[in-house]
Amino acid sequence: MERTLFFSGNEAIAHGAVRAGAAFACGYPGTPSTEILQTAARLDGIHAEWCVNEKVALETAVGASLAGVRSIVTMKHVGLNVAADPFMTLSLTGVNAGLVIVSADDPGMHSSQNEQDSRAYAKFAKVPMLEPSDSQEAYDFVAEAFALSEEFDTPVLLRSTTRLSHGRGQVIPRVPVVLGPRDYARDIGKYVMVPHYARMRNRLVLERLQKLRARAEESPLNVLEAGTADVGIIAAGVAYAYAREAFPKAWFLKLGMSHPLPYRKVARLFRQVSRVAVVEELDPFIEEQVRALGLPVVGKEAIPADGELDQDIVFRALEPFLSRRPPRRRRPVFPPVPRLADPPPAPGLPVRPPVLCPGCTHRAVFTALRTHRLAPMGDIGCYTLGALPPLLALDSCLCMGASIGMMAGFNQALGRKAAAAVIGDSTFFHSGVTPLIDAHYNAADGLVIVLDNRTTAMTGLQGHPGTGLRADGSRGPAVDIQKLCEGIGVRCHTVDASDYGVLEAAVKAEVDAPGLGVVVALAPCVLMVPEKAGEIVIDDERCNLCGLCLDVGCPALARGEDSVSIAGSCTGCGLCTEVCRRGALSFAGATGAGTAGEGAP
Amino acid sequence: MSAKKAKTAPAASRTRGGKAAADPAARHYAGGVVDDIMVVGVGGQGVIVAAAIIADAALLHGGLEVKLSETRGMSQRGGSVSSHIRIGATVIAPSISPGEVDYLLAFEAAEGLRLAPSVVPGGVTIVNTQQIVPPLAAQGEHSYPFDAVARLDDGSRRLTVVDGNAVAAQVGDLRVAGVVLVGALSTHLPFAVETWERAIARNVPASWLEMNRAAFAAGRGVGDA
Repeated sequence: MERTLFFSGNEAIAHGAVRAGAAFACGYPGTPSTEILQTAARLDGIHAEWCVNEKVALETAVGASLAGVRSIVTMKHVGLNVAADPFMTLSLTGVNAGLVIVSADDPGMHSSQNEQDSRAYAKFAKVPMLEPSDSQEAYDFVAEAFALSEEFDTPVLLRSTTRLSHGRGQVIPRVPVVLGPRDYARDIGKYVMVPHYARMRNRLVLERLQKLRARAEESPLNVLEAGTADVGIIAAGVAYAYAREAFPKAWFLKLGMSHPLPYRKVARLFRQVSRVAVVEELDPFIEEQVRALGLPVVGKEAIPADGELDQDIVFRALEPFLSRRPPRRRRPVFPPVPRLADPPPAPGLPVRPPVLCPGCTHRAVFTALRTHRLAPMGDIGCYTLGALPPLLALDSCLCMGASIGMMAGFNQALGRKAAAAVIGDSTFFHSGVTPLIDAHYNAADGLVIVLDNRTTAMTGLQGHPGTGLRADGSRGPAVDIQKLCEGIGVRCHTVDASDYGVLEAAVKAEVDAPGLGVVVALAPCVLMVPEKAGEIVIDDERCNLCGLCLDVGCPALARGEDSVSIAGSCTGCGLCTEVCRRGALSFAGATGAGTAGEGAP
Repeated sequence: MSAKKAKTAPAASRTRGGKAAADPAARHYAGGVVDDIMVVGVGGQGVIVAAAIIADAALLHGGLEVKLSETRGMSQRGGSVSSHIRIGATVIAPSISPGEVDYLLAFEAAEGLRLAPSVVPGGVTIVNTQQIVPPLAAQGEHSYPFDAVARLDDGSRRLTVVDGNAVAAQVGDLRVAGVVLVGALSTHLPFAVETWERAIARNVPASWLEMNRAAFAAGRGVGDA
């Protein structure tokens, strides 16, 4: 009897990689891609490691491929921007052993700063793009991707989306792929992209694209599925599942390989039916190519070009078109179909944005920083949540590692210390070191606060070079952030972020000091600290509900009837006792007024 | 529309091996019926584990196609969490269309009120009385519907109200409240109690199994009521 597994798309990709003989996996965590590498790290036969960023990850994987090992590198869609530099030229050099890049898109931006469609990169770099539509295909397509990579000497992109990555479906495992050796052979003309060699390689890339298109015509990844209605739908990825369920009688051209597009297969669909629609999430990637063939098709004028689709959106968008009589001469133009409204909100419902955890020391840093008139440039991590009310502690969030460069530019433009940068420890290693070097080199003024909570917290406590914790749980050397900064030549102090007085003083000293400085606010992520630091109690007589403690934004504090109330989720970090001016909040057993703030009531 | 009708997919090749007609699930899911189950709550309440138990019950029963889809990323940080579970002879799309939820299992009262409009007419809403007031509401910036359960109980829906925390406390620990709610849902689905217990065993630590079994049985009693 066959064994059936129940895998998320991410787990399926990791297992599919091992089944395909991949022995090296790397990446940088980013929702919704993270669990691919986490799964690979638990599997036998494959080495998995987190890299400092996606660019470094891809470069590392290229090395492994050259060494003769099938390699897979994982990232979220915006990570491919970071990796774009090596990626574009890798298309020219090609690979030795197969190399697959998984880029996980996030339609609907559940956990992302933009909604870019990774398929544009496939066209940009002239490499194949595979788009699985469920967990079984996610598992199967990895082996297809590796085979294409080696046969056509190209990196292959595999696009996931949030719904595929985090959705679960049944998977039937396949027989492992048997590989022959692919020893490294020195080949300067292939791997050294000086202009002369690059020009030659570029010709090969253009020829390769035509060969790949011929393969797409005959590949079983691209299936023409017969229907009983006189309508056809071209779809790829999860959008195929939505369209298949909405229109069970339609003909389908299901594109498992959406780039390069198989022109003749598209034309065959048009010979079978009189009306054709393209269903795809985000950009009109397939649609524009079909239109370029001169074939009339309905696409983004009916189907939303943003957010996730579902079977209902697809049905309502296309039903008027597909149930209508075939067009004669004019191509039908349809008004955009409004998306089915979200369920009408019941009145009086609160918004429920994610919040910093009770006891999180990022909150202490924001509390200390906001007493100064500096524009805080933010970065990407848990601490980005500090930009939300009531903290409102960050002015910007552009991309990983952007905070320090934005701060430097801001201060250079104004000729003074007008902005600070707030960046997490893992993000600092990701891409904060290089802009710090740049700010120092160009003599930019500024204050950089590194929120060192000893982990990559937002994506689920992965290790990073500052901790030395590796993907497989082993320990390597840990890089000391202060020594690194001092090595660059930047002034740096490390303070205990759980001691508010010390933290506040260190921030003030750096704000007042001339030039560029770094404060490392050190305290382990509260999720890694099992025990409470103490018991906070409220003195109902002293509390006048002034709200100073509530401005700290701790989920454990709430406005009660006569005084502030403290919930059981309190970790006893004590930040609220620091901001209370009336000594109403204190540690149980402490001597009351003596520990209160010294300011006026 | 009907996406409801569209749930009946034609592709016979996708259908997995059927069971004997005596199987209540085979009857339940005959003719292309798909159960669309949504579990909602607040990060940290156990929504994802509950959804995994429900999906595993269907998988362990066998002969069915199951799709599970969840929002996370922010789920450990106190935001709203939801999981979609779709069970049928054939299931193609991974998530539930708005307004097509057959069973809503709400771990938190205000989240129940938020998602109640997604339930199809005649569908079942099971709501936990627990209230988790988000910080902005706790600080007086937003209002919080302390009357959520009363507003849900307006006679327009099939509603089961469960005081999951009270039942869990009786069983022995607040952390099994989620499994109490799974128990309340279980009476609506065609799987044997033994199958549910195996599904629970796959998703909770062994040392917690007995207490979770008791929580499930207690929740099942509430669901029957």
